[in-house]
Amino acid sequence: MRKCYCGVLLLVLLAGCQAAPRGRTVVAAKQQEDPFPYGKAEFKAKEIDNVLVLLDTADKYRGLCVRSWVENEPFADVEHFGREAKNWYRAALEREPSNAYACLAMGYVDLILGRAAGDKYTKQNSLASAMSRFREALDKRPGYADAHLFIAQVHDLRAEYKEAEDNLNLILNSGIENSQIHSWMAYTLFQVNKKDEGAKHVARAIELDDPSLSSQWARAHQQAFAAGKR
Amino acid sequence: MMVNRNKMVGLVFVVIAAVAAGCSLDPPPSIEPGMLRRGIAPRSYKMKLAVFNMQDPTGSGGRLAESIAELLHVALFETGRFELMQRAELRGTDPGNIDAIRRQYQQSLDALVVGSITSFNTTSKLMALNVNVMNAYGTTMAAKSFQVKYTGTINVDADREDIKAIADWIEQWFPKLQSGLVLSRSNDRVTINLGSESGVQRGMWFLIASRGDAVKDPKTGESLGSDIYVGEAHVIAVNPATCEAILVPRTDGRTPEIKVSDKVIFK
Repeated sequence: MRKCYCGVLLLVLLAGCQAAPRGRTVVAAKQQEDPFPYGKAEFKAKEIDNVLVLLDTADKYRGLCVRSWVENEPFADVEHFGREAKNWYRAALEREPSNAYACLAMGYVDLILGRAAGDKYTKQNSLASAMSRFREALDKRPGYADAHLFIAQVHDLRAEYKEAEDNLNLILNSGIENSQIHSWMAYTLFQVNKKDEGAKHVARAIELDDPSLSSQWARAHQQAFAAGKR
Repeated sequence: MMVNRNKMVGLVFVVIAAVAAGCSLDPPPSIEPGMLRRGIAPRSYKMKLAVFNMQDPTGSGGRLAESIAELLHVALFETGRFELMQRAELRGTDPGNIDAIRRQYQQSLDALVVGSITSFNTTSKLMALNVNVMNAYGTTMAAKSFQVKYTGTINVDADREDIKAIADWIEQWFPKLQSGLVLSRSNDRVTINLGSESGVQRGMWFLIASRGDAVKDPKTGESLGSDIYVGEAHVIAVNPATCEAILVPRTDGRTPEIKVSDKVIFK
């Protein structure tokens, strides 16, 4: 009898999981911020011709995707907002195929999905997709520093530290710097046991303090580099 | 013995975990990228001029009013310094109503060349011609009176060399300036790091290009990206080392996205 109850309970749970649409667990606050009700976004995107409006909406969904990940929401939420963002970027790209930003931003969403994904295969696929989007952005806009930065991040997440370092050096040697670039350079150098060099980038990331999230990371991990120095 | 062995294994795991924890580092955050600034389609890359028919208050010039404009148009084109608006459209315009004409062409021109024949000397075959270069917003940028020889009595023709001298004077008045940088921006005004000491004059036009978001070729040191023109402005006030300019609104109604240290390229 007890076994029977357990079986029914399991079936109910499974049925509930399958029937629920993705994004079901989205918190109320995020639902209110959703630019369009669930399921309407793709339809709406087809009606809009202004690329800037499409990109603005896509950026809002991307923001919700990132927040869902940062706030440790279920991966289904992260994926839902990520998918919506990509639909809007795709619509922008259909209207303006040369738009390097739309391409880069789509890659960024894949990068976030890659970082948020729990299982190995989703992670690998998302990172591969992100990498191809970043390369496409570089084709559309040669020298695009942001694309090189995100390519470096994908290499880092795949433990390809030499390639990551090359891309970051390309940016820094061009006179472009901010806390994000230095914090990723510090991370890359830490991974290849060059903690002394990494410490310099940590210090620079803290000094520049822009974007502040990156300098916060640098402050939080300063000790790990200092330990290496000793 | 068995218990001791298990303890040893446990200890080894703890040590490995501790070492691993010391070596591992969470990857830094991936910050959302900013939208690329949208470029504009500049009206021209060189200073864009239109030469209008001369006014003839003397009433004795006949077709000279138009033929001087035609000759000056060609002579200015030959300098290579300017981009010129087709004369065909301008032939029918009334030079006496220059303010209305200026407003009509404000969106497509940087400056207008206008003038008037003020006197004729039939003995020496010389006419006095006042030439004025004004920008599309009505600021006089250059003005000078010239003596121009002419030939003929009924079919009068202006001397080409004298007209060429006028074109040379306009060219010298507007030399190609070095590029500069945006120092500050407030609403539709920008201040740039070039002033009268660098040859900047009131009424001049420049393009603003975004920079700094493209990496350089590691071998040649050249930027791999190209400039994106993000704005267009004309100078309204000049100081020795700086000048203030007013931005032209974009065609889509949005305010041009100008940042400090953007590159300034004079037309």
